[in-house]
Order: sequence, then C-alpha cells, then structure tokens
Amino acid sequence: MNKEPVQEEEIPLEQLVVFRLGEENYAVSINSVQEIIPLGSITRVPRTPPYVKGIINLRGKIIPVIDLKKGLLYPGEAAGSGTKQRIIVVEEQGTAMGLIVDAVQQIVWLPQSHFEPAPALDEKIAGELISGIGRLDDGNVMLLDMENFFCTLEKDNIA
Amino acid sequence: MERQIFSQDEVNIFFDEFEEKIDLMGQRLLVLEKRGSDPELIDDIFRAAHTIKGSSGMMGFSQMARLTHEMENIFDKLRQGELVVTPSLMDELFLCLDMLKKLEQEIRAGEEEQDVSALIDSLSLLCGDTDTIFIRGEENEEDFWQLTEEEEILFNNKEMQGENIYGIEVLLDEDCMMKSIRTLILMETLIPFGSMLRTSPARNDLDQGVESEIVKIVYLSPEPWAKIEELINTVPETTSCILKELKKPTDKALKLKAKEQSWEANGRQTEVGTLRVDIRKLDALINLVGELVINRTRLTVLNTALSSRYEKDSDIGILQEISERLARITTELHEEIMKTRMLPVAQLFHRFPRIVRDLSQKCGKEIELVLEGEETELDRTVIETIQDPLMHLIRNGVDHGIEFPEERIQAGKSSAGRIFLKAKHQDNQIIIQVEDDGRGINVDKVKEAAIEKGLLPEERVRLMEEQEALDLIFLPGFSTSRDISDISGRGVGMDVVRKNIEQVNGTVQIATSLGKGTIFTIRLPLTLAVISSLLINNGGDVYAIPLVQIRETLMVKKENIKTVQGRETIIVRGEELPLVRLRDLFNEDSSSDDETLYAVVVNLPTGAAGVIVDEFLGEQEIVVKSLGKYLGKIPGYSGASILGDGRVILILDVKGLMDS
Repeated sequence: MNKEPVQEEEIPLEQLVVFRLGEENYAVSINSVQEIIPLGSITRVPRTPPYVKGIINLRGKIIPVIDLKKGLLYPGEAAGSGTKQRIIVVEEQGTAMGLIVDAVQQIVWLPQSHFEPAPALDEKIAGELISGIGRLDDGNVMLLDMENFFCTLEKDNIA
Repeated sequence: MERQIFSQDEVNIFFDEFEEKIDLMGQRLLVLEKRGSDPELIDDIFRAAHTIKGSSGMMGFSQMARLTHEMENIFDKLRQGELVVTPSLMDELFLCLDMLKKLEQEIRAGEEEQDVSALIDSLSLLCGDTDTIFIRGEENEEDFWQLTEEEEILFNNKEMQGENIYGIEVLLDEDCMMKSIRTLILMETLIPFGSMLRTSPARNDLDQGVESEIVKIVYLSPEPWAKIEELINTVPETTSCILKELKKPTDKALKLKAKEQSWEANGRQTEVGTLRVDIRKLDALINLVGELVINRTRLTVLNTALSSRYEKDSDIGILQEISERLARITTELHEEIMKTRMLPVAQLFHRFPRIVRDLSQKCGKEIELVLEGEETELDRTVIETIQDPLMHLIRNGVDHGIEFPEERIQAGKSSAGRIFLKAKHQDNQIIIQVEDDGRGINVDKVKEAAIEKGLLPEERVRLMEEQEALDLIFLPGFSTSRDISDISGRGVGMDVVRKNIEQVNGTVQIATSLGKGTIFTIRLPLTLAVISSLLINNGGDVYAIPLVQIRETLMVKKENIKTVQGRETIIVRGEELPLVRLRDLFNEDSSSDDETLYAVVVNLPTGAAGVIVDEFLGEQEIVVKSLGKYLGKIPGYSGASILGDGRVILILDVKGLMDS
C-alpha cells in the first residue's frame, strides 16, 4: 500500500482514484471507493432512468450499476466500450453502488491546494457534481463530489 | 456530581436491559391491576424496579434512580401487605412507567431533563397513608350486605382464584343458652374454609359478651354453596340460615385467569436459557446460509448432469449420496436459522392493552382488547414492520370503530365494545386480524369521500362493488373524519399501513358489516428470505414471480383474444379475464406474431389478470435479496435473486407494475 509521502510542511493531502470517461479525466476520493472490479454481466432493470445500467451480484449483495457517462455527466453521449472498462464500487453511508468508467488510470496523492473550485463548465457536464478541478501531469482532472452524486440519484429514483 | 464515562456498548446494554424490564413491569402491572394482588407478580415487578434502580444509579441517571427507588418502596410494601392495590395506585404506577420512558428518551438525546419530585411526592402520599385505605364507613342495618371498597378489592384479588363472597345470616335458637359461644362456634367452623370479612356482632364484641339471635357474616371463600350449607348445618341450635351469594366470579374472569396463568407459565419458561445476540450477527449468518442454499441448488443440478454422463462410475453414487445429505443439512440449517429470528407476536401484542386502556379512557368509551394466538411466531423484522400498522388499525378501532357507550346501548349492544387482535398460522402464511364489534364502515360514505377528494373519477367510483370501494380507504389522502382527531392522526395512516405490510410481502384486506363491526385481515408470508417462485422468460431475460401472487398459468391462443377499447381479454371458464403484456408494462415493444401465448394469472385486489410472457421456465425456490436503498423504491420489483448459475434476476411485483 502507498505510504503517505513526507512533506516539509503539514499540507493536507488527498488520495484519489483517477479514471477516464471518454476524453477526460475524473477523480474520486479514495475514502469513497470500496473496490474496483472488471465489467461482468449486468442484469438490466426496465423502467429505470437511462443511466442505470442494471444490477450485479457483489459477493451475495445486489448493487446497482450506473453508467457514469450517460445522463448525469454527459447527457446524450453514448457509453463507450473497451477492455479497459471497470466498475468502481463506491460507498456512501452504508449504501454501495457501481460506476462504470472507461479506464482506471492511477491512484495519486494530491494536496488540496492543487484543486480550484470548478468554474462555469460545459453544459455537457452537470456542474454541481464537480467539486473542483485539479492539475495532473497529463492534463486536468475533475473531482467528483460523491455526496452530491448520491443525493441526485436519490432524487431521481424516488420519483 | 461526577459521572463516569461509559462506552457506547455499555450504554447500549443498559438500554437493552432497561427496555426489557420496563416492558416486563408494564405487562405485570396490567395483570396486577386485574387481579388486585399476587405475590409472584409483585415480586417480579419489585425485582425489575430494583434492577433498574441499581443500574441507573451506577450510570449516574439520578432522576431515574430516584423514581425507581420510590417504586421499589411501594412494591416492597405491597409484598409485605402494608399496602393494597387500588385503582389510584395503579394509575400512579403507570404514570411512573411513562416517566421512566420519557427519561430514557431524554438520556438518549443527551441529558435527563424531567424532574421526578412531583411524582415521588404523590407516590409517598399513597404509600404513607395506609390508614386512609382502611377507613370503614358507618355500618347501617340495611346496608350490612353492601360491600365496602376494600371488600370489593379483596374480592377482585380472589376472583381470579374462583372465590365467592357469601352473605350468611343465621338465626340462632331462641332457647339457645350461650348465644355468644354458639356464634363463636359458628365462626370457628367457617374460618378454615375462607375468610370472614365482616360480622355482626363483631368478634371483639362477642368476646365482651354481646350476643344476638341473628348472626350475619360476610364471608369470602372458594368453597361451593353446598359445602357452606353443610358447614353451617353442623352447628347445633341454629334454626334457620339464609345463604346468599353476594359476589361470584364471572365466566370471563375464570377464562382470563386460566389464560393468564398459562401465559405466565410460558413466559417463565422462555426466560430461562436465553441469550442476547446482536441482530447483525444473525443477519450475517442468514446471508451465509442463503449462499449455501444457492450452491446447494447448483450442486444438485451438476449432480444430475454428471450422473447421466458417468452413470457407470461407482463414485457417482457416492457423490449423489453426499450431495443429498448436504442438501438436507442445508435445508435444516436454513430452517433453524430462520427460527432464531422468529419471535412470538406476544411481545408485540402485549403493548396494546395498555394503549387501548389509556385511549378509551381518554375518549370516554369502554373498550376491551382481547388477544388471541399470542404464541404465533413471526420473523423479527416482520414484527418490527407491522408494529406501526397494527397500532394504527387498533387506534382506528378505538377512535372510529367502537361507538360511545350510549350509542351502543341504543343499538342493543353491550356498553363496552371489544377489539380482537388475533394471530394464527394458516397454509403457509401468518394471518393477523384486527376485529371490532363497532359500527362498521359505511361504504357509501367512503365513496362520497373519495369523490369529494377527487381521488378517482366519479363514474368509476359509483360503479364500484363493495370490496373495491372499501379498498379506496387505502388511497393516499383519504380520511372520513371531518375533524382530524389527534388519536388516529391525520388520516395519513391507511395508505402507509398498506405500504408497510406490502413491504414484507404481505396483503391487507377489509371486511365490514354496517352496525356490526369491521375486520382487517393481514396476511404475511412465513419466511422473508426464501420464497417459491415461477421463473419466466421475457425478451431473453429471466424474471421471477412469487408463487403467492399466482393463481394459475395458461396457454392462450392468439385467436381467442378479444380486444375491447384497446384492452385485451380472454374467456376462461366462462369468465372474462383481462390480459396485459409484460412488455407493455416494461414500456417495450410488445407486438408478436406468436400463435400461442403464455399467460400468468395473478391475484390483484381488483380481481385477477393474465400477464403475457414469452416462456415459462419452471418453479424454483429462490433467496430474496434486497435491491438496496435506491432501486428498492421502484414500484414493480420486490427484490432480486441470484440463480444457481450466478445470474442475477429481478423478482416482479405485478401489482406494483400495473399500478404505475
């Protein structure tokens, strides 16, 4: 496991999982991530919003799987496919959920100062769900706000 | 005051024990109220109060400790006979329990806030003034046979044991020489067989030499009439004797006594040899057993395949034997584990008599709650889920169902109304009924209210039959009370009642008779986790439909389907059966050229309907898995399951699919 890198001053660092959706990089705090699994067969659930891909069996527990690109972040754009696709299983307040991503890139330590609040973004991307934009060697990375994400889902599914 | 800091675990243990003891005290107090006295009961309550006093003192909950200390005092005095059970004492004790519960909630939220001093004062008042209880009124000749309050109380004590109060009036012989001696002899004869509550002349007077030709005795005894007569006849020089029954136990009292004794016996039995287990540990066990069940099925399937392939191999026979044994053990293990989560509904039912007592007093009605089938066992989660619905139904019965005493008498009924709470096993279900002998539900009023609130179009409501109309009560936003009574709440209840019950795969129905009463019948499946289902294929996907929802399966010929106003129906055994295609329910393309279609006929509150699917795959027992917080709220699915081959399938709730 990664050991926390030593810094001269006490700067709070965040450990993030960076993944790819289409052409862009996203990240989510490692605190929210339970595990990362390969894409297997997903049972579809009729009459759910289009971003709900279906349900899977995670060691005896049923969890919903969301196509991150669809609906929430890239309204209108279809989900890609590929051998690098993974499901990131996130957990918030005891509830688990799977997020389909195109590829998982790396796990990094980034100080909070690396992130700026998200400016007015493309309409493509649901702004409230991005809590900041950071800089990585190979480009920008958008930090997903997991709590907000779960809240939005709750609103949609109660309807 | 320094308070020791306790760990969350220790605090939880305190609360667990506290709640258990409070429940126990509440139940015992109710029985004590009826019986008036019972050394064992009083002892139980004393010990419970003592325990709480000790632990709350240690935890630093001073208000709780003070109150339970006073209660312990009272029960000690009751034990010693220094105090007698009276209605006012019982009321105070119930108030104490309420206060203790309030304190518990305050502690959970942070700090004790209530001040128990006022309550303690009224308790001491009841405690110290023992003399007041025994004040005797002036005796009047004609009123000799009028029982005093404490005589009534003593009778109530003994009523449960089948004792009577007799009025004995003996006329001594005119020429009896020593009347006082004769009287004493009469009394001595009676003493071994009962207690003399009051005599004329009084015993003290007799010792002083006062005598009278007429001796009157108020006598409490379990002996039958004949025995008393016999006893009196053994006393010589008695001319005549008038014997009358002043009070005798009612049949109801005798039955109640028998029931209470048996319940007590059971209660004591289950107290021995129990263990507190964190429910999460049980849940983990159940999950694992669920996995075992799935793999058992897979093993059986594999077995069959291998047996036919290698039938000549001797090892196959051994494999088969082992698989069968494993399957049997798994089934038993599953049953036993499920049983650990089963609890008798008694613990749920026993909260209600107190509530009915308080509610009926509050609204000025006389209502008795009768419990039946309390030993019936239910899964623990089911008990938790139906607690609120039952509470609501019972409150409804008190508030709307039972009439006021005057109204009842006018209608030729007894002034006291009855609410029955019954539980029993039937087929593979648990049936719980809440029945009242009140005014029943006026179906026309229900229809009017539904129309007035615009819940459904008027013509449709008017055409409804009684059963369908009664179902309107379960629609959200329904309430027939013009005013919102604070007993039942705002009429938000009934739809939530149904929802809660459906959450555990149960159903609820109403039957009513105007003027006679109403019955709510709740049906619950025996086990939550494993259900028998029919697997079906639709569009290449497999779904499961719980067998309890299914009436039958049919093969339908396309040519026999009639379409009227866009709805498809078919005639089955002379009756019209509406059809609906599963693909339509899924908002998918449902056109098909098939000559033969397969329909699953399901039971709905409004009748039956046939759901057209692509293929029947057979019956299977499946383990029900929750869909989780998000998908679980979507109507139409009651869960998911994992098949033997690892595939995940959805369990359909046809009613939910059709409702939305």
